Amino acid sequence: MVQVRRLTSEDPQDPRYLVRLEPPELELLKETPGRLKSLLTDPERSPRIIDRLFPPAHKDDAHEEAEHRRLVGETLMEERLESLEAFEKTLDRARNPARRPEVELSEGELHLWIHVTNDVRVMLGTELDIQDNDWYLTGPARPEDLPSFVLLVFLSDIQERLIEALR
Amino acid sequence: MIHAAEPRTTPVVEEEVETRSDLERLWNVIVWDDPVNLMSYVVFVFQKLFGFTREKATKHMLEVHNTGRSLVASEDREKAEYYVIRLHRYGLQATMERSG
Repeated sequence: MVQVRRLTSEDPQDPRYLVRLEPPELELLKETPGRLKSLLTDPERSPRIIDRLFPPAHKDDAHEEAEHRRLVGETLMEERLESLEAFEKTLDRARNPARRPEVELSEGELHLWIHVTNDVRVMLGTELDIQDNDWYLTGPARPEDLPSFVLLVFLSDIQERLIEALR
Repeated sequence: MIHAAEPRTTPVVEEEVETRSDLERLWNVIVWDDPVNLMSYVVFVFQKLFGFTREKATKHMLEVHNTGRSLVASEDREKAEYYVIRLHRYGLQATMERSG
């Protein structure tokens, strides 16, 4: 089970956090950026997920929306890809990966983990076509969706623990 | 006798005034419900992006959850665009619309 705790820091301006995992959990986290990265670099593969990750800013005004898209350009796409790469680098720092992995994070990196887990969660939620707020009670709609559903539950748990650690 | 030259008048640039009014007009930033985003995450984003207290962030999150949407900011166009772009980056569904 994932544990996240704030470390006693010499510098209160630079809080540090420790994420403790089981080895399969570390491996699962290492695999997840790749799925989102391959989607972002090949948007035609899943337009529904891309539409969800890059939603409209102007619901009923096509002209304003076109202007908004022109303004934003590829910024959000590039930011997401950069975040995924930064996330992968933090995982590479894991101590004791084979027995009881631990990753020490700065507060900025903790925020990064929160946002990357959410990006992957949004991808999975869209893939699973989640429509209800109590999705975690009903389970996946199809048996073949179980691995994605389990990953979504796992990332949800991690995200809540990361946010809790900030309080 | 020397006659003073007729003073020149500058025509009022009404078009410029209209443009300024449009720019100064407020835009509402609306966050929409999404079943994938966790409540704790939405509260976290509201606190981080808008500087809301936890209580205010929770109030807006519950409004999104219970009614489907919440008006989280009313700003000039540039600021509203900024908020919507950041909300999208954080994975929330958000739109902007002219106020009033």
